[in-house]
Amino acid sequence: MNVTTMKWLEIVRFELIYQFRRRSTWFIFALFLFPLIGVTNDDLIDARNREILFHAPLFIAKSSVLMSVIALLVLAGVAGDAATRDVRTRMEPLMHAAPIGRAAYIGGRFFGAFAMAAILLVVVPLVHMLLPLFHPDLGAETLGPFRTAAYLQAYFLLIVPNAFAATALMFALATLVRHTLGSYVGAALVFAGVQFNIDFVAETLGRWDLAELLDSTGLIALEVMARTWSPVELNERLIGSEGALLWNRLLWLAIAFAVLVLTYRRFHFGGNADAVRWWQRGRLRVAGPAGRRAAGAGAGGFEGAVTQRSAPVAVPRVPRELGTAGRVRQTLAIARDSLREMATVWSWLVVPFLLLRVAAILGELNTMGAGTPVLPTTGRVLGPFEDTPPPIEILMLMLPVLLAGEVVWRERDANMQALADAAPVPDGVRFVGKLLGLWLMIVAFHGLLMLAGVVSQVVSGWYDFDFALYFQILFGLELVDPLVSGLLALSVHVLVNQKHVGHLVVLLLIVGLNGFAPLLGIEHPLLLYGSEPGWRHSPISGFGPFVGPVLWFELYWAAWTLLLALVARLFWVRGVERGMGERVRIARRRFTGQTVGAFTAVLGLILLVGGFIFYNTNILNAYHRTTEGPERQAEYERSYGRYEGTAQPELTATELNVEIYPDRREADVRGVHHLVNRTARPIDTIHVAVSSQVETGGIELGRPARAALVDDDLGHRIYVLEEPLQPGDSLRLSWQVRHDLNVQRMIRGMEASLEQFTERFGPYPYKVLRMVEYPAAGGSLHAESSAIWYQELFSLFDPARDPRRIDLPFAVTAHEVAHQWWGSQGARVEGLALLSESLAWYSAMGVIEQEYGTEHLGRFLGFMRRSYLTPRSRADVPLLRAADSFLAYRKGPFAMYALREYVGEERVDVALRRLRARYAVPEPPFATSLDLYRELQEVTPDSLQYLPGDLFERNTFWELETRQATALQTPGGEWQVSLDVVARKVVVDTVGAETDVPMDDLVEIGVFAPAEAGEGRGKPLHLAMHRVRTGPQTITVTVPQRPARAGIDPRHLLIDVEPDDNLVDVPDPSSRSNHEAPGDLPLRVRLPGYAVSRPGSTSQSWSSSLSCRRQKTSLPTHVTATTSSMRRSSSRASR
Amino acid sequence: MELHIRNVSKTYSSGVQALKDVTLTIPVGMYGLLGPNGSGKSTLMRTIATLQEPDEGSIRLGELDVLRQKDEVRQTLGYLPQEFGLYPKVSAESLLDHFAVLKGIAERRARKEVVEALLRQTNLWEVRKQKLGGYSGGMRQRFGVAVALLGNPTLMIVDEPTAGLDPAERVRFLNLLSELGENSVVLLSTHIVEDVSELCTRMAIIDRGEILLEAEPLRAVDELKGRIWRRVIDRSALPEVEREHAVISTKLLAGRTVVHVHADASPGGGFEPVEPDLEDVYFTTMAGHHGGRPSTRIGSLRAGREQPEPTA
Repeated sequence: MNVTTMKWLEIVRFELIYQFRRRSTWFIFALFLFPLIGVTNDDLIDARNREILFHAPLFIAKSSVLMSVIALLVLAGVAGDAATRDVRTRMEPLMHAAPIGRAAYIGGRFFGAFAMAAILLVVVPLVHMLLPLFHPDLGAETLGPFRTAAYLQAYFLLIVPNAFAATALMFALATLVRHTLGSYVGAALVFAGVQFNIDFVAETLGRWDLAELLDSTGLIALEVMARTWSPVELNERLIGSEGALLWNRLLWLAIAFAVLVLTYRRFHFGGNADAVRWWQRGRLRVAGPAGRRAAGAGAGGFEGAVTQRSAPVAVPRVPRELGTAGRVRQTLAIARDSLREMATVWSWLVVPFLLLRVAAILGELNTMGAGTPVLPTTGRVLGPFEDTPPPIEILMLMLPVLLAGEVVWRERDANMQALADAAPVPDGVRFVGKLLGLWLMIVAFHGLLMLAGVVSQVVSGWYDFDFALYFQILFGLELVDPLVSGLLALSVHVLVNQKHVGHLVVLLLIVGLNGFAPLLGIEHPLLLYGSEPGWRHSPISGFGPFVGPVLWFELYWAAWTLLLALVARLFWVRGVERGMGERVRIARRRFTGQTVGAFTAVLGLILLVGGFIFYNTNILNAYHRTTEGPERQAEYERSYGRYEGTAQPELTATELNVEIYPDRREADVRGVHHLVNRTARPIDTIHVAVSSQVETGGIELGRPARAALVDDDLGHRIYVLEEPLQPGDSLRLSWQVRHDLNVQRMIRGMEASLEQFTERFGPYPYKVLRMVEYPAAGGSLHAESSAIWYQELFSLFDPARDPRRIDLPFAVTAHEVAHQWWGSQGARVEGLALLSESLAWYSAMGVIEQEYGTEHLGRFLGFMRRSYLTPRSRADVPLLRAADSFLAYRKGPFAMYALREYVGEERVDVALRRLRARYAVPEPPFATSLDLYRELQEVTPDSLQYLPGDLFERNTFWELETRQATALQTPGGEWQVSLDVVARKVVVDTVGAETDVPMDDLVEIGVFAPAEAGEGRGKPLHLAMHRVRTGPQTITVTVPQRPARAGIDPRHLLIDVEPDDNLVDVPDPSSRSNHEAPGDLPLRVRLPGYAVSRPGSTSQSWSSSLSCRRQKTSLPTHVTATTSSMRRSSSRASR
Repeated sequence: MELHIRNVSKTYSSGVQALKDVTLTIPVGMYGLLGPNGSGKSTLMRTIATLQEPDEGSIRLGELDVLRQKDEVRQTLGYLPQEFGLYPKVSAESLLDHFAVLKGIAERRARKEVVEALLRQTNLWEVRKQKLGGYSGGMRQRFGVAVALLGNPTLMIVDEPTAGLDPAERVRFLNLLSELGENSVVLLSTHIVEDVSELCTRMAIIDRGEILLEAEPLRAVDELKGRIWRRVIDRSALPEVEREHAVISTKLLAGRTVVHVHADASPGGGFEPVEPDLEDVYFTTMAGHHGGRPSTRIGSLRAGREQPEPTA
């Protein structure tokens, strides 16, 4: 062993022992066990409920990665301390003067921290292995076979490399900025990286392959496995078998090494105390001679004065003010000083933060409308505050916590506490001064958030700033919580008296305990710190009833925090009070009568406010625990399950009289149900389901009857709030929106749809069609008989700025109108979605084509096809059993469209008309997807009978690829194009087993002219069906002019998960070069089961926010626990 | 006004007993607290400066109970800690102004006047705009002095103030202190004997938390007259001399070893009488010939004057 290695090992050893001996290491580690056990326990419950094996390798892996990300909060402290301890303890000169090389010093410190991390994280697989022992009720059907390899892989492939990469990044940043905050920034970068890769690279760009590589944690690679693996693989397959994960690991190990090498090269012994920052250079140069003179004078010290001797000590006697006015001055001075410190430390972040925030807002505005830009109204720009999404939430949460730590430790970090603490400043003044500084910083941060909002609006060309709303939200509703958090963080930091541990305790209090408490059955909002009912703002209804309850809850938590602050004030550390015993002794002395008074007052406030809230949540309103739901359901089934199948009369008509009192948030519903006995036997008992959510008054049965059992507690809801049809036969539209642009689009969509659907499927079944905007932040729509409801966001869609040049509001309107024809026929069984959603989209396609032309429809289909880019297992049910949104909104419409292109639109419409005619009366039996299928088969010519089967009955995939296309000019001046194509057809069952099916199908072959400017693809020179067999083959066609591109199934009619290889460039025979097609990606990582997009194209997965539900309508009323609920109602049923 | 320290004891949680039943009375004027590193000086100073609490005992400043009426004491207190840091990114002027507000100088013009006077006094006026992070050790020390002098303290506690100063700075600073001592209680702790001998009218020697001697420097030196003997020997002869005589200190002089021994009569054998100074008082006391310590530590004290502690 040479000397360098020996020194290196000694540094590693010392580092390890040092960290292990630190009490805070263990304390933090203990804190880490909370989320670890909590999350693992959640996993166990998850495994039981979702029928995934707890010991499944992929399940272990995902849980391990999640924990290794959470562990960053712990590891940041370890890495930061290893990197900056010598700076902090001023031991730097000693260490740096020792004969240790830079490599041994940095390498030793880093490996010490990394080894510490790797050792601590052994606990992650350990807890996962041991936890089932505490649940003896869980058997092998939940746990599955225990496999050592799965745990070894999780530890060595995920946990250790993640710890290595993250520690390297955090260590490097902390070393370079010479402050532990650097390592927290590193941890934040890792968090942000995962978020960015999922949200942007994977979801928005559709580049899942790239995201898998770029994500430093491996989480996305695992996510892709989870989405593409078959159910059998999910439970059995080891993660180490996937290439993408291994490449990701290698890449990040390489990056970590590179970061370390960079740190090594940038690191200088002796620190860079003399280093001049680039922004100071100019200033120093200007200060040149004067500065030198000044420095000379400084170095001369008292000397100059000595020779002249002795001007007496002439400190002027000035008045001192140590009364109230002086206290106020002191408080302000401390606030100013704290603020100045934070501002200097954080000011460099202002511009990057502003840019990030603006980018995030713009990104969200551009993606929330399924890719159609949304108008940046102030409400939308501030939208995230209603329910803060993770990245901003984490930042908003961390900011007061980190800042509070800095403020509390300000003097001690500078080692100035002895000077400061000897000054005649009462503890309370110092506490309040620091709090004030922290609060001002938080206010400034909110100012920054406001600026980001305004900048985003200006960038989008929107100048209608609603400053009142900005102030109400940023400096009103959303300010209280951070201020209270600031006080909490400050108090905890004082009490804990250890900076890093303090940060963790605060986070645990704010996040951890609230996540953990429900596991223990604690879920009442009065017991979960910081919980509040939430609020929404709507341009229609303003803040509605939400402000009051939010403020009451905030007052409640402010009172609790104040109590903690009073305790913290007792334990305020001044001077060198080291031990807990001494602190307690001093606290006891500080506990004066005044303190008792303050405690009593605050306790009284807690009781008063808490009591008022409790009165609202539990006495004015009914409070239900979440576990009560299943319990009540089980109880209901036990009690009344035996009546299932009892013969009952049928409901034939309902008359409702609904009185809504919006200001009281009450509704009074009276109704009459008409019941008819259609069975063959007399019925002597009537079962009526009532809702426990409302008060049900008397029920009269129209003939003498006796109540044999009244159990309103377990009753269930039967009310259907469908308004009776209005008289009058004209089409009436009522509007409540302000953007006439989209209103016009929607009206045009409705008119065009009504006209076309009437022609294609029969007359509109109702007399009125209404579109109603209601106050809710989302963009979803509901179609009901004769009415379409939509949320506010939908009115803000701005298709004029849509880069994809599609008119989404028009298309979605057509879809909703189509529901007036497609929706009421289906029985509630598997495949219902095919009958409603798929047919509605298929119908809408015709309207889009008629209104905007085939090219626009092509673009629209291209947009809909983007969801194929999301990794997805090929194992699935056939369309006839469609239930999920992908099958209902995507695959179903495409199957219908493909059939239309093969058999002709009129034939398909005939089938649809027949289906409607057969189920015209809304009475059982209702239609199922099999009825649709039968009608479609009926209209399909014999030669194509296989097609409906492949599209609907079986889960079929065509794998079509054009290898090469060549063109030769014939003597007659025409062009002969030869295409080498490969084809395969497979059927995949629900567990992922693939069966090759011999193929002899008609497939479209297309040859295209060079694209003109502004065209996506050139004019088709040839587009016709050709018979294509399984395997490679050559197809030759003749076209009149020189072709540019050619390929198989160019319009993607058949289901092919890799649509990008269908078309190739046709090389110009005169140039003889065989260059790569510019549209193709030369480097592409292929993953089973999903396709890869072209660069530069944007895509959207069809988010559920725009899904159009037909089945259920919910009242657009927000019901919160405290104040709003529907309390009075009565119903009447008569026979 | 006098500072009375009565029976003050302090044991740290690590088990180290920093102060053992310390009782001192400190009048107006300069008072020197002399002792080696780790003797308990700083603990005593911090305790008087209200930053620490003793386990037992009481401290009174005139009418004030230092341990109870901390805020009142702080209003008359100037404290220069042994080691301290300063905000690196703040200029001297601005931080001194901040401290001035903390010390209750609320009025802006008065504050400006005081800050300027103190910065000039400590010769930092020229560099007042400079960030404190760029200050040398001596400049920082002088800034600490300026902070301590804010608000015209009547109780001044300076803990090892000359450690970071060059000889000229030290002289100037001690002058400044002695002027302050004309009206205030000035308690100066040091391990440098000259600091005390040049300035202090009274002094105490502390070691291992105990006060070994409380005296006026001149009188203490007087008392040793005729009892200190000196001899120049080879280093190899030292063990033998130590065995036979009560050696209180050894020093190197031009490569040879100079031994001072304490004896009431001439020890003979080449020893010659020397005129004692305060250093001899200090070493005699530490060796246990003064102030009642058992004479078991003679051998271990041979190292003579120690170097200032490195600032940790």
